[in-house]
Amino acid sequence: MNANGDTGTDTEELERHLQELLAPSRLPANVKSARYELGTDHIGEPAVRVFLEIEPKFLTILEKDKAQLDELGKFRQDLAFKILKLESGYFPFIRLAEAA
Amino acid sequence: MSAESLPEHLLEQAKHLARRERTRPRQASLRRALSTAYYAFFHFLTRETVRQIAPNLSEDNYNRVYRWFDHGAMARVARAFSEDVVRIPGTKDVLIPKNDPRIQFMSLTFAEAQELRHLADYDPGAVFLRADVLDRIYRIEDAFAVWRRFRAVRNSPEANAFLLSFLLWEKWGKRT
Repeated sequence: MNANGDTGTDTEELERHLQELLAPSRLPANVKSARYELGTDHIGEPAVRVFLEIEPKFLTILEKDKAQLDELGKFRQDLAFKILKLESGYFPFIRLAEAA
Repeated sequence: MSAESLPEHLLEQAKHLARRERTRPRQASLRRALSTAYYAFFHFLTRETVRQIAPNLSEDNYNRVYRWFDHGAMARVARAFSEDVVRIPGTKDVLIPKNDPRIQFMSLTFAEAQELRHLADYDPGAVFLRADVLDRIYRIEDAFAVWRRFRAVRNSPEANAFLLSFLLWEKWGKRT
């Protein structure tokens, strides 16, 4: 459902796109894996939460290296806009998570 | 106005909180950093909206208008203005046929910041990473810089509609 209550991209199609966008080959080198959850956000609107899982040692580097953090931030932002372009009505919230 | 530099000072405080511990950051510090960074952005957009819409208000009336802003309504506007095409709520009518990417960036950053602030303040199970928190703060700092640096963005029809929407989002669909 999009902002008008229509189904621009149905959930199944959205999930197919997400799996493509989050395929290991499309992730930056320092992102070990990615996962997503569909649900709602704090205002009750549809949301997709994406978690980019990062190795602990790289997290320590990111804390100190703004250039590398900016690079990852740019990837995250591009990913968010790609998800928005699907017009699924699910708003993307993309976070970093520590890889197990 | 009494709190003219509040957004900038709050963002500075958010950075301080995110870097408070040298090695292992406390979750409390990271949560307060996210919450403070969100409020920096909230006050920034509120200040800029009032400046553009009503630049000649007395201080008393400026402070009254300031209280009209609602977090949930602002989140809805930010979600809508993150898109390439901005639609009038509840309709298929187009408000902005081709959005400015810089307004989209500011909107996305604000929507994300508010969601994270909600998690930081209300979800005891949420875990935050310092790298993530710092990235959010830098993004908000970038949003402030985009707004300040580009007069053309501030004065664009897209920006006017964006700011006006914070107060009157539901009114765009009104026909009579």
